[in-house]
This record gives sequence, structure tokens and C-alpha cells, in this order.
Amino acid sequence: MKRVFEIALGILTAIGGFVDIGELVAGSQVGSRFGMNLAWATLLSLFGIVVFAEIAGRVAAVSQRPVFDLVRERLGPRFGLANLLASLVITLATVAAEIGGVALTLELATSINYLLWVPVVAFLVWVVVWKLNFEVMENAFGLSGLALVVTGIAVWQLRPDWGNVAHQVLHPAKPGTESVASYFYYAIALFGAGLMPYEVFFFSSGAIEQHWAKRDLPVLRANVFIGFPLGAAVTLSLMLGASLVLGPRQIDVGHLYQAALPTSVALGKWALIVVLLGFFACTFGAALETTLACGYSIAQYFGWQWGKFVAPKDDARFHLSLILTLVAAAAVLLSRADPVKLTEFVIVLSAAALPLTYFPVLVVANDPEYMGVKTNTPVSNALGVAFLVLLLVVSVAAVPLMIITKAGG
Amino acid sequence: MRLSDLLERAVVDQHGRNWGQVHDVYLVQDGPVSATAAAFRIHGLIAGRGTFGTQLGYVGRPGYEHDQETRGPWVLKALVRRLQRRAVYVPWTDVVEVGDHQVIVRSPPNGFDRANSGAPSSP
Amino acid sequence: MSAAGRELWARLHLLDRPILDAEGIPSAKVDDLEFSLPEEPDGLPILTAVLCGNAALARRFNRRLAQRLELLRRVFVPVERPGPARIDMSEVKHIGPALHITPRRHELEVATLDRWLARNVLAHLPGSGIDARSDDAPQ
Repeated sequence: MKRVFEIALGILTAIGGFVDIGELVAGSQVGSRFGMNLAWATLLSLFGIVVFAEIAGRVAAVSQRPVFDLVRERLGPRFGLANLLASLVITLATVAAEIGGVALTLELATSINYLLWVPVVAFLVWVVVWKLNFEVMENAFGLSGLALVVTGIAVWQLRPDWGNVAHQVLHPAKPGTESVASYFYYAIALFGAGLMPYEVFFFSSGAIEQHWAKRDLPVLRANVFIGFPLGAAVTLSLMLGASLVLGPRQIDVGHLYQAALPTSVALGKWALIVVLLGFFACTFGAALETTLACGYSIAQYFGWQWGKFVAPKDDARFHLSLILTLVAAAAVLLSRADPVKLTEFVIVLSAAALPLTYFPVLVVANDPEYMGVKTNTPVSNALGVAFLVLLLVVSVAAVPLMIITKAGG
Repeated sequence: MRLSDLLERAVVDQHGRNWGQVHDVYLVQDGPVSATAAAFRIHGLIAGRGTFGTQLGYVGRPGYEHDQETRGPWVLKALVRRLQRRAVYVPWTDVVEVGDHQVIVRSPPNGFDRANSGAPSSP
Repeated sequence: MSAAGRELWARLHLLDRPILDAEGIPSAKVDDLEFSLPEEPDGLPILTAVLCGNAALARRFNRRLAQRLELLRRVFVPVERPGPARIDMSEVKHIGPALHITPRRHELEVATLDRWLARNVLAHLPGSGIDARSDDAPQ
């Protein structure tokens, strides 16, 4: 019975966990401008995160070492350092974007300017990371993220032409008003939002924080194979809602307000409160995860002790990295960087760095020294390699497209 | 001397031939015995072209059994093995000097043995 | 550690591996290895110590940077011999996927910075559980 509960909890947590500020912003923007014609990009990123999160989680559960910890051993300190620096830059910017998302949500709820919320949120994130037990933290924010399900209810209420929706998803076409470059630029942005570097490293270290071992592989698989797709469904609801409400009125998404609009239009004031709660939970949860991901990667590269499951006195450098991360992120936001634009920038940069992030995962999962008999099957490898080729293509195209389209224009 | 003084250094013999860069160093626990255990001694090194993929555990080498090798992905493994097929094993007794930028060795008349051709002969 | 006869590849099996202390807690990584050159003309170099810490790791990137870090280290750590943090091979009790050593991590040269940070910075935060005044290793 306990096992069923664990699995259910894991699935529910994974739903809210899949969605962060990247999906909120990109999902709504894309829905407004392209309808459902880019749904395939979200589905493709879902496929990728499912394959690689399963691998990364399995590596952690079986070898009792998180993936990033093994990168330096298997690929050398130079590659490890390149990987560390690239993911740190991106993840740090992501921390800023997520804190910005929390601040924007609070601004919507209280009408107090988001800049005033930034230091408060950064401080609260630190308090949770410093004191709250890992599992309690994950479960609390994951479950509250379920509030986002209201976006699905809203879409149902809006009574779209489901045939038309299905057509756009299965036979995507570029809208006449948009250029080819824009179309693929936003495809990459949406794709990058679902596959950010921190997700795999956090999932892997989180498995160790929760003391998962081989016997927990079913829970891990349920999280990944059921939870993440449900999370993608939330993203698609946001996209569909935006295409139904924002698109026809040509409303651009420049603030979280527009992302919440379709839900409140469909269901009324109460729904706005619920969806804001959902936004808060998923962005705050993601702020926690990205901050921890920064600490994990630095500590694991240098071989320091790390983890919330360890008392602070035993991993001083890890906790100091977390504090410095939050200070830097808050500084970025307080320099008046627009959180929404920052989010767009970060998800495309993520897409550019994806091969660097995922290549080590694939290699490490094939090493019998760490994995025993649970190394990748040829099927996993084939999927992984095919996906890696796709990631290379995306990576090469990302920055040029950003320049050509002037970041979406 | 440190391991970092050897790894990735060019290996050059008395004729000026470049055998590649040092990929790894072979240790055997047959040294002086202290309170706890015998010490490890360097018996030789592997040198080959470039250093791509040499730490991944794909390539056969003396003392490293086949079932310990990293298993895949197949594409990468095949690529690394092909790149490293000419890597050689240099016994330490053939090392003349560890210089600042290269390791000078004395190569036997037929050159050094390929690294993946089986166990090295003891010095 | 097994008494004798073990065969290893330095880079594949030792380098960049985690070092676990007496309690099995990760304390550092194997950043470099130290060998003593033999006196006899036909002798083989002997592995004498594991080197760890930033100064040791830096040497694999850039020698000059490493020398500067080694000098910097002497400012913080009252040390008799120059060079990076060192763990003698006599303190290594098992070599597997990770290196197991006999001392506790607080006794290691490489832990000095961590302990200093814990006592002087982190201790000031509420709820840390660190006794700033105690000069002993944390329990």
C-alpha cells in the first residue's frame, strides 16, 4: 500500500515538476502566435526528457552516484569543467528566471511591484533550501503544482473545435503571418524549455537525496513515464488556452498576466486564484530545484560533500554555493532584467547546450562498473543516440535562429 | 613525479619518432611492503594518437577484462576503438627520461607492441 | 587493501575517483598521484600519495596556475612541505569504484578550507548546528 502511495505521490509531483517558468512563458506565447502548430515540439521534448530522466534516475538508483558526479570520472576534468561552466551559467540564469516568475505571480496577486518581491522570494527560497526536508519540500510544491490542472478544465470549458486542434497537432503548418525562421525558432524555444540542463542533474541528485535504490526503480519509472507526460498535458493546455483566447485578439505574452488570462476568461475569478497558486507552486518549486542543481554540480565536480540529507556543518561549501547562487540570481533580477525576456533567452541557450548535458548521461549509463547488469539496453542506446543527433542539430540552429529572428521578433 | 607529468605528454623515441600521447599508466602492486600492503609501481604506459575517448573505458588493454569495458553506445565505442587501434604499450624500462614536454623512450628494433594485443610482459 | 598483486590503470581506475573517509563520506577527489622515482637505475617509480584539492587539480590544466595555488595554500595552511594537499598511500585502505581511506575527513589537509568556512561563515546562520567557538572537528 505504501508503495502505491509513493508512486501516486511521485506522479503527482512530476506533473507540477515538469512545468516551470519556461513552459508558462513559451507555452502561452507559442499558443498565441502559432495555435497548436508547434505542439509537436513539446511532445518531442517530452520524449527526450522521459528517455534521459529514466536513464539518469536509474544511474543514480543503481550506482548510488548522481550522473554529474560521474561526468568528471568518465569524461575527464576538462570536459567536466566545460560542462560545469556551461550548465552553471544557464542554470544560474534559470534561477533568476524562476525567482522572477515567483515575483511576477506575487505581483499579480498583490499588486505590489515584482522588484520588491525579488529579495523576499530569494530569501524564502534560501530558508526552504536550508531547513526543509527534501521529500517534504518536493511533495509540498509538487502537489500544489497540481493546481495547474485548472488550465485543462478551462480549455474544456472554452469548447474548442477538437477536430481543428487535432489537425494542428498532427499536421502542423506554419501560419501565414509568421516566417519560417520564427516558426523553427519558437520550436527550439519550446523544445529547450522542456529539456533544461538542470532537470536531469536535479532528478539524478534528488534520487540520492531520497535514498532511492534498485528497489525504487518502479517509483522512478512511474514518475517518468506517467508523471512527465501529464505535465506535458498541462503545457499543452496552456498552449491551447492561449491559442483560443489570446491568439484571436492578438494578445502578446509579455507578463504572466497573459498566461493566466485564458483560464480566468473561461472559468472566472476563482480560477484565476487557483491558477496563480499553480504558477506560484511550480515556479517556486523550480527555483528550489535550479538553486540546488547549481550547488550539486559544483560540489560534485570538486568532490565536496553535498546534499540536504547532510547536516549543514558537514557540507559548508555546498551550502555556501547555494547562498551565492541566490545572491547572484537576485542581483540579475534587481538589475531590471525583464524576467519574461530572460526566460526566453535562457530556454534557447539551454537548447544550444543540450548535447553537452546529455552526452555524458548516455556514456555513464553504459558502464558496467557503476551499473552492474542494469546498463542501457541496445534500445535505450539507440533512442539515446538518435536523440543526441537531434540535439546536435537543434544546438547548431539555436543561436543563428535567435539572431535572424531577433529573438522571436 | 606526478601522474599529471606523464598523461598527455608526447612519447618520442631515440630516432625522433612520435608514438603518440600518454593515455594511461599501468600500475602493479609489487613494490616494497609497508605495514598495510605492498606499494604500487609503474610498469608501463599506453601511448596513442590524440586523447579522444581514451578515458571512456571502451578500448581493450592489458589487465582490463572484456566484460569490464563500457558497453556502448555502439557507434561511439566503434569510433573510439578505430581511432585507438594503433595505441602501443611502452614498458617503463624503455623510458629514458620524463621531460617537461615529452617522455623520451628507447624503442626496441621492432617498435612497441600494440596495447590491445594481450597482457604486457613483465620487466 | 589487498596485500599485493593488484593491477590497475592509473587514469582509468584511480584518477578523478571519489575519496571516502573512515565514515564513508565523500571528502575529496583523486586529483593527481605522486610517485617517487627509484634510486636504482632499473627500479620502477613507486606510488607514494594521492594529491587532492584545487592546487592539485589546477596542475592538470595549467602548471603556472597550480604553482600560484600551491603558494596561496601555504598562506592558509601551516604546512611543512610545499605542494598540494596530500594523502599518503599508507592511509588508503581499499581501492574500488571509490578510494576508502582510514582518517576521518576533518583530519585531512584538504578539509581545512571547508572547516574554516563552516566555523567562520556558516555558523553565524541560525539553525546551522555549528559551534563557532569550538576548534575541534565537528562531530
